[in-house]
Amino acid sequence: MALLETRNATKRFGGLTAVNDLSFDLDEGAIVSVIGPNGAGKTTFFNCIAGFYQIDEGSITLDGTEIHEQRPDKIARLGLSRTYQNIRLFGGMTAAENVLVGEHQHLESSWFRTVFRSPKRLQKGWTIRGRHLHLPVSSVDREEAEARAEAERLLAYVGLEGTADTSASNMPYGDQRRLEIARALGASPRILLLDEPTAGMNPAETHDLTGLIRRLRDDLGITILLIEHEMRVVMDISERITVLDYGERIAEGSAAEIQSDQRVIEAYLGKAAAEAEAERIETAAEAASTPAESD
Amino acid sequence: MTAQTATAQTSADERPDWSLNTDRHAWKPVVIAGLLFAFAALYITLVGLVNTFHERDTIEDVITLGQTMLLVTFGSAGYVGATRAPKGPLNAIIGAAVTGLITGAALSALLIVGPALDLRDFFPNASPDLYNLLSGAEFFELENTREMWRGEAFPVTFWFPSVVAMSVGVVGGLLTLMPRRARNLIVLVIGAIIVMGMFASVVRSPMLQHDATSGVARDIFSSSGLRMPGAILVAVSVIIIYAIWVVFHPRERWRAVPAETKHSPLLTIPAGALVLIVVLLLPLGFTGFIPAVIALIALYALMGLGLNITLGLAGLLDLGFVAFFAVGAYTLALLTSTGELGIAQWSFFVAVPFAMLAAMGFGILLGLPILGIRGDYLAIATLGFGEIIAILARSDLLKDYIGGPNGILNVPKPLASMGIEIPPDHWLAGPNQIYYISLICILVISFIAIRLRDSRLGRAWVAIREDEDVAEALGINLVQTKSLAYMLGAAFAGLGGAIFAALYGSIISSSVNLNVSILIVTIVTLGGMGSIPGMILGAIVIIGLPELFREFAEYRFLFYGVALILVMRWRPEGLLPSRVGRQELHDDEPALEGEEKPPSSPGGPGEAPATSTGGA
Amino acid sequence: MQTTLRPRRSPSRTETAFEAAVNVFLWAFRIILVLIVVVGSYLTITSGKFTVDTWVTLIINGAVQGGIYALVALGYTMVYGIMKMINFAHGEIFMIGIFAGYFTAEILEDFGILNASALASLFSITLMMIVAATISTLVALAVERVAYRPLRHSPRLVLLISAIGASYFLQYTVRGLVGPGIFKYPTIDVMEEETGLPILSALGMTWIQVIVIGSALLMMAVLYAFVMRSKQGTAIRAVSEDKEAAALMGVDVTRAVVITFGVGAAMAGAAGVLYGLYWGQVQFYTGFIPGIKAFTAAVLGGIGNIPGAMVGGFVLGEAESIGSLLIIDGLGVPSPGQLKDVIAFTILVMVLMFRPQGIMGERLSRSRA
Repeated sequence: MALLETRNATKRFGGLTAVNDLSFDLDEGAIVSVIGPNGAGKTTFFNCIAGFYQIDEGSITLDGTEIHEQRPDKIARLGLSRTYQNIRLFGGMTAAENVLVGEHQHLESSWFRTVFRSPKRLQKGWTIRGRHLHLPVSSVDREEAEARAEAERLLAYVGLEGTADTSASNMPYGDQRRLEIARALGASPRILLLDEPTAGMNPAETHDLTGLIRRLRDDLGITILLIEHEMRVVMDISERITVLDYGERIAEGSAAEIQSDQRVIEAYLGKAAAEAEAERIETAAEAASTPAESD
Repeated sequence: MTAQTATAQTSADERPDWSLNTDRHAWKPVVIAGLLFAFAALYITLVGLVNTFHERDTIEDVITLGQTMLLVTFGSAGYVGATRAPKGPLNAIIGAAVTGLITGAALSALLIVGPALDLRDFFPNASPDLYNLLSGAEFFELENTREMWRGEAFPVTFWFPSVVAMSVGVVGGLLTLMPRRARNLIVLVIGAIIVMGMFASVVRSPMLQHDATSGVARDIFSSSGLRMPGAILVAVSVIIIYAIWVVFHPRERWRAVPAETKHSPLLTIPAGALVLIVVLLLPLGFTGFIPAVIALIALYALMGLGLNITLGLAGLLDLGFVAFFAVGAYTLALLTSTGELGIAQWSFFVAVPFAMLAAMGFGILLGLPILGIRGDYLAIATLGFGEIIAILARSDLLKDYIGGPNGILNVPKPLASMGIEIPPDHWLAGPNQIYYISLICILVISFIAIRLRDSRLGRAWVAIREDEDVAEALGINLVQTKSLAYMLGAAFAGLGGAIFAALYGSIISSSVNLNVSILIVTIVTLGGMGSIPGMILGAIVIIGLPELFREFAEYRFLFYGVALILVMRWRPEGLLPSRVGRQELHDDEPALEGEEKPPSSPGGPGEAPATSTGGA
Repeated sequence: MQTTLRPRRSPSRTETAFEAAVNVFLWAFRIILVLIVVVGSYLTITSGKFTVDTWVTLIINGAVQGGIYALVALGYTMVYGIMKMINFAHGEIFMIGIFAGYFTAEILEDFGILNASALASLFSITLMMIVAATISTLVALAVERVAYRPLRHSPRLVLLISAIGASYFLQYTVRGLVGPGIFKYPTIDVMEEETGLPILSALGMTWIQVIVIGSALLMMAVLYAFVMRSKQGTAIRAVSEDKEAAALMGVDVTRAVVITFGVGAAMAGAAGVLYGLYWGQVQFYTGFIPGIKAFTAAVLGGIGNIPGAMVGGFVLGEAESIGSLLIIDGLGVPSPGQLKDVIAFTILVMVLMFRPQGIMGERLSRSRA
């Protein structure tokens, strides 16, 4: 059974069918890309999976549990995290705080204990005549400290070491994208949906990010579902590529298979280009099968 | 280019250009400014601000507050006119004169038209007193009879406002030509005199109590403003202080609120101690009605802190705050009143927790249904609830239980409810008890707020406020988290209501109205959302000022309305914002290219509104 | 650099209990409200206290009030559609219309025109409505320019607070200008008479009622035609649906917004005159509660939906008129008229909770994004 399965998922907005009868499997530990021309329904698809939208028909299952009628926070607690096409960070918070929000579901402290814990000063204690006196460390503070350490570890992991106390809105664009990923990682997800993670990045940053995505899967075992327009990234790291157009799946396969698929070319470049490409392949095939002229 | 010509060029650039710009279009902004100020001048006269403030002196026998308002308007008109005029000192002066003239001309027109049409049927403030004031009757020692104002003739001196406005306008315009320091100094001196004139009665009253200071008090202050010696004293003090400040901060521009400054502990501890002493002893220095005002300020600060959790942290605009205030007040009244509606004669301190619990209960009751609603709609829904409670409070349906319009009376003060009688002059008299109780509550609430803010819950609240959908996608249960904020706010509103009932000895249904909610929202918004010192400042300004200056009281909501609009326009994070507020609402650094601010939660109550289309 | 993934946490017991409690509560809420309506109505009808005549009167009153609500609701709904903000100050625009009508009426009366003849009265009313519409429009445009336009990229909360500020500012400006007293509209004798017309006089309708309902319907029809047929109206609809796309198509967004404000305000101003003619008096705070109720009507009909505002207005008017007698009195509540406003607010909350898209709004998606 695949980690994420959609069966005949359909999403309509009034007269427009954004996602049309889409069935899709995502195996655990895979890196899969979803591509397609603008308006193909990719982000809508993500929104449906994450619970932002409710599909009108069909089903979506995560690790055996049906999630298509669940609230987003329930889905998050089942192990799904995502990033966004337009960066949606919490601008008023620091980087570390953003990641801490990501860790929300893993922290336990009740608000009661938060209010009534002993102050840190008393917990640190004093040394009097060689003996150290202190109040026991409250569970809340211990948990907060661990969470904070984890946040810093995650920031370092995505390459944002030392930025823990920088305000999120002050960070450069590339760093903000990474921060969003770090925040998503805070939830310890099993599956991560990345919506155009390399948008607006230069080639060097793109290369770094691609490596990071691979490491997410290799080191942490996270299953990755990726929306991307940058074809180099797609062809580079995807084990499988799904192509959408007008909300339907028109092709699926490896990088090589997709590149030569007629329907894909037609979707991106139009019918004329598809036909031209078909001709080119035919001519090449003919040339290959025609015996060379010999003297 | 040789050195000679270079210097000749620079000195040519430095000489001011005294030419007159004759391009018609260049003067359009000046005329528009003039019209705007003319409108403002007519506004403040017809709304009655000038008349009312005419009762209060700025400097006794010299100028009243009403006249000051007019002069400030004229001066500002000139200033703006000068800044909008084409470049060059002559143009600036002419610009100032033009705006001043237009402003004054509007008032002159009023002097001609008003008596002829007897506008008093429509605008009661267009009275003979106003006309006398505007036409400078006292300066010309004219006896403008009442008949004259009934349309027989217009005043001889109808040109007076125009001339005064133009002159003062030119003075205002000259300010633009002065060096920055001089300009600041003049503005500060004038401002200080005006402010001290307004505060005169407040400062005067404790000074009169003690023999040492009473003589000085009588010399400096009159019953409603400054005396001439007082004005001179203020002016000189300001000049001296400014001079000292300039010496120590030669380059710094004056900022309304300093940026995050690091204070050395050496300075903070004595400063903090001083503040503490002042706060603790504050009500003891005053007599009369002022201690009650101080208690009321503390009470509203308390409620502001409560709303601060709901609105400042979690971003829930609760316009029905008054509902929980009412529940708390009525509960306390029912439990402690010695009158006929009281159902128990408990002591204040025993009853308060119950009042808070009742308010919290209502918080859950009213909150749960509506906390799924988003943004603006939540605000209106809470408003609706507040109104429902207000209607129920004065209804006949519940009259037998809570007294209808008459409410519940005979609510004893805290110590009295415990059977301890306090003579009225004692430092623990009624209002002061409330004050100290409120102080303690403020400390407790601040403590809770600070503890929660830096916790998982506090972060969840801020996340919800910034981007609700993303917060939900990170595993935050929206309804539960919002409910907690809402309930806490309700609890503290109930606490406020209970204390309010004890302060006034009763709770009547007319005290339960939307204005209370709006007042507290204004305190939180103006003071600075999420910021505790902001709350306190907000309460002082919004509650204290109208109580201390009765003339303001009539127009308080007018000022609040303007203040809200201006603050939202220029400083939406509030006067003393928290770090988060400043980051969120006041990006001083523009976003980097290609970046967008996180979009705010879309409108529509949890569902896409009918007119929107889906995303790609 | 390794991090470890944490095991999944299932929700704590308090959380699940809370969830269950919330659901139970919401259902109980619905049931209690239905019970109140049903039981109250039943008791009233079976008690036979009220005659058919009473109900007819109530229905007509409801239509009159509903027409006024509908006109004001149009302003709310149009502004929300195009700017996605609730124009809190709209109730005050309405109130300014009432006052403008009052002053015009006073002047007309001083000149003897108001009651000179039936035709003169009709002319007077039309003039009053034009004056009121004009003044309301000017004020609304000023408010838009000063309090809303500079904030159009600000978070929604900031805009709403600015609107609240504008509302209070307008209220207390009017209070300062004219004083806190009650101002009574001069009586127009013709208005009080019953119409001589066949069906209408059988219902006992007076001219004033006919005029209010008639003008309301007429104005709504004109507005609808404007929005649907004219170029500017189409521009407004385009901006309401997708501001950026419309701008890219060459639509002047600012102008569309200004026209929307203007039209909504004109409707409200004219409605103010109708209100003044019908209810007879006005104070500086008279606009506030009807403003909220008109907003309720807009939400009830489907916010952003123009026919919806019209429908919502009439439904709310009838609900208020009939409901207080039908439901509240039936339950034995003393002075049921006092609780009339509760009906409107309850409808507001119920609609927002259970059917936020209103009667005529389309349910495009159950979306959270």
